[in-house]
Amino acid sequence: MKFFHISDVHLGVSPDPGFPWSDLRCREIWQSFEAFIQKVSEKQVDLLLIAGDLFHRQPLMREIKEINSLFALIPKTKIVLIAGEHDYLRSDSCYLKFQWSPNVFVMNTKECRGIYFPDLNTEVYGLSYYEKEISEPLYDGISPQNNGCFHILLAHGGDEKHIPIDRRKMAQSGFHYVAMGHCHKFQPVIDYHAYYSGALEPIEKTDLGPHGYIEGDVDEYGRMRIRFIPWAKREYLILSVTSNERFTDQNLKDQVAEGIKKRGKQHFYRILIDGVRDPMVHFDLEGCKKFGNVVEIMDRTTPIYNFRKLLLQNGDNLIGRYIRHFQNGALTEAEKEALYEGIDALLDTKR
Amino acid sequence: MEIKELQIKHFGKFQNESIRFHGGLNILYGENEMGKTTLHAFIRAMLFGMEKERGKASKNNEYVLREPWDNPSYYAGTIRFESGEKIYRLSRNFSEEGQSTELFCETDGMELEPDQAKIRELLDGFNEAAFCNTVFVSQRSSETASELADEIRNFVTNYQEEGQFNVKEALTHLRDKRQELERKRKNNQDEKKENIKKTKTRLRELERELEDLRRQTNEQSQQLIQKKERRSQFMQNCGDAEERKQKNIGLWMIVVLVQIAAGAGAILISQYLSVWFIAVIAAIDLIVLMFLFFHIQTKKQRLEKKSQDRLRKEEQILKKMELEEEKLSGKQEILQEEIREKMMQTENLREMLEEEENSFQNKKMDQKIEGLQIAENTIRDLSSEMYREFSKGLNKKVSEILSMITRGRYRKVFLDEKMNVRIDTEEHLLYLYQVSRGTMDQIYFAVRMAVGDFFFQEEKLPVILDDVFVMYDERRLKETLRWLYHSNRQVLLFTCHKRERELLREIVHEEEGI
Repeated sequence: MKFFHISDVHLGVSPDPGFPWSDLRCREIWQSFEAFIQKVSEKQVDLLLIAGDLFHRQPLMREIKEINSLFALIPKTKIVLIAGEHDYLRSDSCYLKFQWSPNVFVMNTKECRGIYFPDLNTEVYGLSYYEKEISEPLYDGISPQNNGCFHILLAHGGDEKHIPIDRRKMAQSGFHYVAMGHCHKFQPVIDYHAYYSGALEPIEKTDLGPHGYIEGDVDEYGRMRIRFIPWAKREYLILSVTSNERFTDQNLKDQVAEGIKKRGKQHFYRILIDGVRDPMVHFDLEGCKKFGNVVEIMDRTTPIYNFRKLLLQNGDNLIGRYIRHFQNGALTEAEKEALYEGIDALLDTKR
Repeated sequence: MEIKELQIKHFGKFQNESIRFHGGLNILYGENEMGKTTLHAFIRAMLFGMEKERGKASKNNEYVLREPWDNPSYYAGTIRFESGEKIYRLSRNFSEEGQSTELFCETDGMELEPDQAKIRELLDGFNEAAFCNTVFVSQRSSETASELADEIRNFVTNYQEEGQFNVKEALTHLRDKRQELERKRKNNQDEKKENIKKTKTRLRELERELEDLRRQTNEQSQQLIQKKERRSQFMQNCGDAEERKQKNIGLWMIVVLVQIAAGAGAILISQYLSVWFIAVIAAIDLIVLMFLFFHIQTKKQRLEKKSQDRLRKEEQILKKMELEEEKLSGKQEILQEEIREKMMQTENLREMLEEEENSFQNKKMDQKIEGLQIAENTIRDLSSEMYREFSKGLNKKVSEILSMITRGRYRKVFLDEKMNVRIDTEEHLLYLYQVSRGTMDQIYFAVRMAVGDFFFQEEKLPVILDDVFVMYDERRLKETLRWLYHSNRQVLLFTCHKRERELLREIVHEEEGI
């Protein structure tokens, strides 16, 4: 048996609101899902597991229809899906009203239930969210019937407000595979047993790195092999720039331009400038945005003033007093800002 | 610092002259035109250099004034002085062709780089302006009190900013930067507001559409009710027609009853009438009956056919009505579906709006703005604190000196916020113009000495006075000299009066005598 495991597709989301690519990304996420269904068809997947948050908000009827018509294109693939906290089953949810294609199984109960697929000799357990937040550990006591088939748990959440999970209990629960959703980054929950597939496409700037789905193969003896397959063509990437006392604005621009060119213009970049800088140098952050899709640029450098030397040179004059004023106790971010800006302004008038 | 010797190669009227000074009070007596002021100017030129100015102003320039007429290339000199327990020799050539400066440390036997920064270090940090504003007092003093007040104000404020930080400029810079950021933040917020407004408009549109849809369904359901009513009315009409058919049956019943009655009648009267007659009557009755029967039968058939036609028609109409109703309720359902969809969309949009309203807080920018504001406030606070300290200390010092040189006549002097000198006589608070010219000069002198002392406490520069005690009476002059005598510094006093020398001798006698 071959299965694909995806989660957190977030159809209908407009990522990075306010940025020029926001609407384009919204369409791209739909297109990506369409292409993914094509892939499912090509690979002759037996079972497609969707671990929640297929939609970003309450799905509209026409959206459900559209998705269903996609699912109808792959009648040989059994599709099992649950609703997560984003597309939770509100009383008027279209998930509930819709007559799905026969190969689609929406696990719409509040408690965990199982569906048995005799041709795959596989049983899938799962439940759906009926609220945005569930703080009870609903998965903790669940274990499958011992009937000799392959057992899968389709689960969503894992943090405090979204069905917290106990890893030890989960490891002992008897499921052969736990397909998890909610966390946007691919990662194991229990090695060889439980995985977050991560979002199919990155949704926001914190979804760093590659995104895709999990491909699993179960042989006739019930042995499982799983792999993460990158799918998304765009990524959110951190571009780190380290500044030193000789680093200039032009250096910054060169590094940003080169970094973006090297890693690909299609990606979205978060530029973080760390280290120290010459107090005279001020980085033109807005100017860096022209080199690519820059979703964030942060100057976290500290200007290197030699405070001891400055104090020595300035004694009891204004600069000396200014430095001393900020020397007692820990400084808030704003006060740090004040220290540097003030000294900068005062020294500037002396030059 | 102490000036040891002046060697004048050629400067004004002096040529190959050398003058030595000792520590403490030096009185240089000379009649008018002897060149006291030239010497005074020479010291300044030696310490800070002198350049020829170009253009119109050059006419009265010090440089031109002191330029030797006959041998300009010897326009030069040397000053020997002690600073930090080392003897230095600073030589300058002012001539246009051979301009040069040499600095030599005699103690170490080492030639030094003669740049002005190094020289300033040797002069305890005094630059030319500070020097001229404090210890270097020239003859040319202010004529009126307001001029004097202006001058004091000028040099106190200038003094503050000289070589220091320009607080005002720094504050302006910080404010500009903050305002720029605030503008940016406002733009961002406006953009956000614009986005929210757009979402809100979309929401309103959706709501309007929803309203529209609701109205449509209302209308349609009204129509449906009407249609249903009409159909039921129609069906009732059909029922009426059937009833009429039943009336026909009644008619038949009447005929039968009449026949029975007639038959019974016939039996009753049959005794009186001939059989034949009855038979004929019966035959006629039979014929009539037959005729009636046939007539009614055909009529009935006709009617039946007619009613069948009508029934068929009615059925058709009914079917059509039902069809219409079905269509309408189908439409209704679609509309309902659309309404549900729109409602879902509206709710999703509301959720988005909420998220939008809660997002977009640029913490980093807020911090920066806050930081700039803190910097501004702190600098303002610290500088006014320093100013308060400065004026407090300065006032104390000025009062001290003034009290001494006026033998306690004026004990308290202070500078108000506008840098006006105010004299507190314990009865009145006087302005400078309310005191005598001599007192004014003394106050001015006290302020100068106080400022010099206050800011350059480490080592005392020599006080160089060019005939500044002209307006002093003897008593005050004596006290001023006494103050200078005790001030523990080198004093070069240029004068055209002998009284300073005599008074000093008296002071020395008095002080040593005690």
